[in-house]
Amino acid sequence: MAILTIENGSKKFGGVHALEDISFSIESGERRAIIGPNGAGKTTLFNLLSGMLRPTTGRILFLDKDITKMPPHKRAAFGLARTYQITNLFFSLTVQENLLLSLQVSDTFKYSFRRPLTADNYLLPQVQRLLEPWGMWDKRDVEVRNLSYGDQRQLEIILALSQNPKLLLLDEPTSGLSSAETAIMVSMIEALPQDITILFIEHDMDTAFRLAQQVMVLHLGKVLTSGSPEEIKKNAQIQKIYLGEEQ
Amino acid sequence: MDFIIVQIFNGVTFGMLIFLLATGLTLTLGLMNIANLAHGSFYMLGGYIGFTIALHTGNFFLGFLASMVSIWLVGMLAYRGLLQQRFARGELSQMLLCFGIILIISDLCLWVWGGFPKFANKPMIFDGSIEFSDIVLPVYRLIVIVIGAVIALFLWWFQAKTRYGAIIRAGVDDDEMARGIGINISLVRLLVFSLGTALAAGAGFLGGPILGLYPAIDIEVLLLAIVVIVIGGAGSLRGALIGALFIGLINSFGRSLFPEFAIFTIFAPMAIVLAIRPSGLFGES
Amino acid sequence: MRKYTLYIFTTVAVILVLLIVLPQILPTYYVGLLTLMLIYAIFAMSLDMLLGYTGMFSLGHSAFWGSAAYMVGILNVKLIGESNFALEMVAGLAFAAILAAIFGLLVLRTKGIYFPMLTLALSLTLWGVPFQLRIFAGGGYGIPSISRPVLNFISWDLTSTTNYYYFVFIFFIVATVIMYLIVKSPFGRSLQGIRESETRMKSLGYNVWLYKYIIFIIGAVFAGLAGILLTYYTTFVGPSQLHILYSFEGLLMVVLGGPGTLFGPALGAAIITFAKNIISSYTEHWSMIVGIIYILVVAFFPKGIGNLIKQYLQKRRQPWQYLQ
Repeated sequence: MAILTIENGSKKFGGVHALEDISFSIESGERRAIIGPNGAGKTTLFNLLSGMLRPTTGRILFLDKDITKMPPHKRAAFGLARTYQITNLFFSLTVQENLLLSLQVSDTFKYSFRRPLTADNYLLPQVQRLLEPWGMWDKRDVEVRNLSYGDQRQLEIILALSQNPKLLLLDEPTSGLSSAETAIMVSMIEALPQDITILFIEHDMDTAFRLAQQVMVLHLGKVLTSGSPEEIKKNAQIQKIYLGEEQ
Repeated sequence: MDFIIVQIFNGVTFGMLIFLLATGLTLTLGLMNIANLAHGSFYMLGGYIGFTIALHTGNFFLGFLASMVSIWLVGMLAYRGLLQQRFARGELSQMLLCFGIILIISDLCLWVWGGFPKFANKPMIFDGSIEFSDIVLPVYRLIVIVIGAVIALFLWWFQAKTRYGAIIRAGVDDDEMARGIGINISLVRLLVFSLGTALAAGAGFLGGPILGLYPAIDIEVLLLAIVVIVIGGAGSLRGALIGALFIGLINSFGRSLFPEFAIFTIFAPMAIVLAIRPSGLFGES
Repeated sequence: MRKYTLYIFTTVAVILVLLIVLPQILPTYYVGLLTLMLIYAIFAMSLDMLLGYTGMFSLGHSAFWGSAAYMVGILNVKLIGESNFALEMVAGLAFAAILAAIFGLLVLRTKGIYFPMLTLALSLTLWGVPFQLRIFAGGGYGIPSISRPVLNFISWDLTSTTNYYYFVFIFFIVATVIMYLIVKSPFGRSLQGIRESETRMKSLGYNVWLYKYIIFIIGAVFAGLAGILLTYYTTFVGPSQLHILYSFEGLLMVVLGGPGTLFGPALGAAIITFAKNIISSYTEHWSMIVGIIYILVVAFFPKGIGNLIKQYLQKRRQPWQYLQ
């Protein structure tokens, strides 16, 4: 069953086409990587899918519902979560508070003025369940700005996971991480439950090919080609693009 | 018909003054993302300084020059000494510093020049009026329009035809890239900032005989400048000119047709633009 | 952890005791000063909810306290002619709320640096309104001779400075408690999330616009409360109460006191009010001094006193946090 479909999507800024002719579908449970040189439009695509930008043309369907005009916060309620390439966390709040902000959304008591914060003790077990697998439970009272970069990138994903998403958009999850940290991140992502569909942008080819079942290549705002990791690896055109870019 | 011509004339005059005032604000906002809220204060201070110089030397042009040069220096000082510092990185800090400047200059002007409004005398050569049919158009206002137009043309030429102008238009905020092309971006910013304040000062001086100079004028013109930016969009000279002329005309017609609701003549267009196109008519969305 | 709570509890208790007892021993002049401090503290805290907690740089806050004050003045003197406290209070607060509801719709359409500029523009525009409505609102002369509330259920003569102080004190306590509950609640936490990252909050599922709109109105209502209390105190309302200078002073109180702490801005309000009073007796150039203080605070004290205190306390409680 297709969980996400985009038909004829495009995004123009002024006279520039950041994205053009974008049409694809993702099956439920699929792990798909989006790769492509810088400026190919990958993050713009994520912005379209998550609702931060409105497409110039095209439709986006999520779980068979037309979400093209839906604002980002409503998409989140439907089960769409995303992470950001540049760490986007609540920096002066603690790790725990970051997660509580996410967990309290599903509760109407987020509008309550009267309940003091201690009342959300009942959310703490959930926080523990989310943080422990990543080894971050004992850092729950640390302010995010005091965390190491690697821990912040992990929290970036944990926060999205706490939304109980059906579709997870990861924007360069291993960006800026050392090889050791990348290895940890990769194994954690691999271990995520199969019922979560994951669409992720990656620059690290090894990571992309290891985690993905399908790879989509974006270039100059268009989908160049799509296929299994093996097919993409052998594709001469793609090699030329990347080698050409590296000059 | 005569009424309309006079109102248009007055409106354009007023619009030109506002344009000179708003130019600096829109450029610094567009290029450096700094909202120089102290702009009205520079208008006032420049006006007062020019007024005093003109009064004591009897020379109008000297006064005009003095107002612009003195505030150019003050502007450079304010930028270098305060707004460029490391503590001025965030938006809040910049605004707070501007408020500090507003309060200091406002009190200073009250101290030195007192609370009574000053209406400068127009120079003798400009003290006449052109009359045809039943319309009387003061020459001085015509001069203001001409000066405004000349400066507008110069700025347009500078922006469109010179390399520095291209930089300002592009709103380059990547320092390294700019230096790579061989441009001293911090010098450009300093000059844009101080030029903007100098223009505001010139407007203050020119506006003296028309609007007068008095303690509250700094915030009154600040309000107008902000409205122009909201309507015309930040960073756009064209937006500033059109917005300023628009406000000038509305203000002129509004004051004469509905004097009790003068306030709303400013408020209404701003509200409408906000409702329809929040980034301004010509701003970057 | 226990010791820390004890420290806070003791400090609060001491302050409360002082606030209750001092007016009995201080001369009337100082009681009046204390009254002003409490009123400004409410104003500053209401602004802190917007600025410190939500990250909304609202520069037009004086619009709300001035308009609530005007409503009271108009009812009290022009329309009814005698004091009707309940009506005046409700009408004043409602007016501030409605004004914020309308302004909010416009102002929240802007982003970034436009928001403060626009709030500034709106409050500057509003400042000019009383001058136009001469009969109704007294024009440039304002509305004098506003009578202090006459309470029908207790015979409490509020024309006495000391009595009026306690009247204000009650509202101060109530207002502080409510504001505190708001910022400490899940709603308050959401506000902080918005301050830290609007985009992330949207991604998490929050209707950020609605939160900002709600707190904008709430902040206006509390500012209105402060404005009403001030106007009863001075028995006068004039365009000066809508003047931008109050927004500036309020902002300074928040920044000096420490945005995002509530108690900090209250402290900042006390300090600035006190300083203003002392300094104004020596010189007319109070506003220049405020300007200089602004620059000094930005340069040397950017976090404000409250946050410095918080940081200090936190370092003592959780030193291990900083070992990363």
